[in-house]
Amino acid sequence: MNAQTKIDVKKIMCTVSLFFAFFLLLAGLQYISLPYAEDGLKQSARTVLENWSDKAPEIGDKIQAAPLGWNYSQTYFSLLRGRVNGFVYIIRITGNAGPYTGIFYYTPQTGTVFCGLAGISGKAKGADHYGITSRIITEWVHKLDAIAKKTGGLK
Amino acid sequence: MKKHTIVFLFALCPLIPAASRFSYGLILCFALIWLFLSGLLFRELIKKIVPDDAGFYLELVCIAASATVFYQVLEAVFPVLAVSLGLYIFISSFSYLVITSIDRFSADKESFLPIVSFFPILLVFSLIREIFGFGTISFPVPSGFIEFTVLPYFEQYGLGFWGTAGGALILIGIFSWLVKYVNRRASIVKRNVK
Repeated sequence: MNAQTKIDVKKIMCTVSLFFAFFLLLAGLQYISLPYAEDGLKQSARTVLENWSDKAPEIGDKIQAAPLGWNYSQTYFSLLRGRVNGFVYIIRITGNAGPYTGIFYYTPQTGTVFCGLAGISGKAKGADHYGITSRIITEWVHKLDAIAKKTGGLK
Repeated sequence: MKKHTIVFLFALCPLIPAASRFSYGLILCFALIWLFLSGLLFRELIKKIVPDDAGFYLELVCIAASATVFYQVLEAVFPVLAVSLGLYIFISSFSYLVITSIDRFSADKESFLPIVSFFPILLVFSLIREIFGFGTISFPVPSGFIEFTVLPYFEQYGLGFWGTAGGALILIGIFSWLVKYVNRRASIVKRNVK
């Protein structure tokens, strides 16, 4: 092995080590942050659902729904009296005035319903105040209806 | 300066939809500061281990990893805001690259000064948008964000237009005119002193 090869091997090893360090760091952080993130999201979604209706469903286990492209989404089973009856969607909605976190509830009987925006403390204002117009909501309702039908898992 | 202003605006453009609230502006600003600090660290590290042309591409990978680290920490601390801003955290790394490339490509010297002046601009921009677009000022909290009313009669008399992307573009126009005006005045004063 000549001197140039040694230098090249050293560079490659350093680069591979850097990538491996990133892999370990990101996997470790994901492992640590995921439970906190899920708890926080579920709590916020629960608050929105409770404000939306007296007969709000419980939030069950997380499921893998069909992807929504660039849009972040989390899907959970909804539970009514301990039985799975639909889905709760937590989704990033970008309206006229920036992005917000929207909560939607789907059951086969009612279809998808918009329940409200998560994470806004203080006096409740309509989604319209935050630039989420009825047209944007309708678009999401249609999209989620289609996705819910593809997702399956409901009796 | 003219070129700098254009690059500044180009870097700010992807963040326009997101910087509608002060709480969002704060988080995006922290994301840029994090990218700035980790960018400095990685640049030095890469110079030592891969000092040839591949270094630039490796630096891009490092910045992408830094943005992911920031996003994961944000997810744990402010989970709801992480949903709202997730995509924009990664877009902010694009803005960071655009701003730091001002000197890389134009003057053949590396300086991080333009990005330092970008932080207060982003903060002031989001603050003005929130005050005039919603009549409030918001701060991030673990459950989302908390709003404080600044303009009490906003609901009756306020114009929500300034909170929208259209309003933001007009604000950017006013901002760039102000920067140009101040710079021109400063250069006139300097010339008169000489």
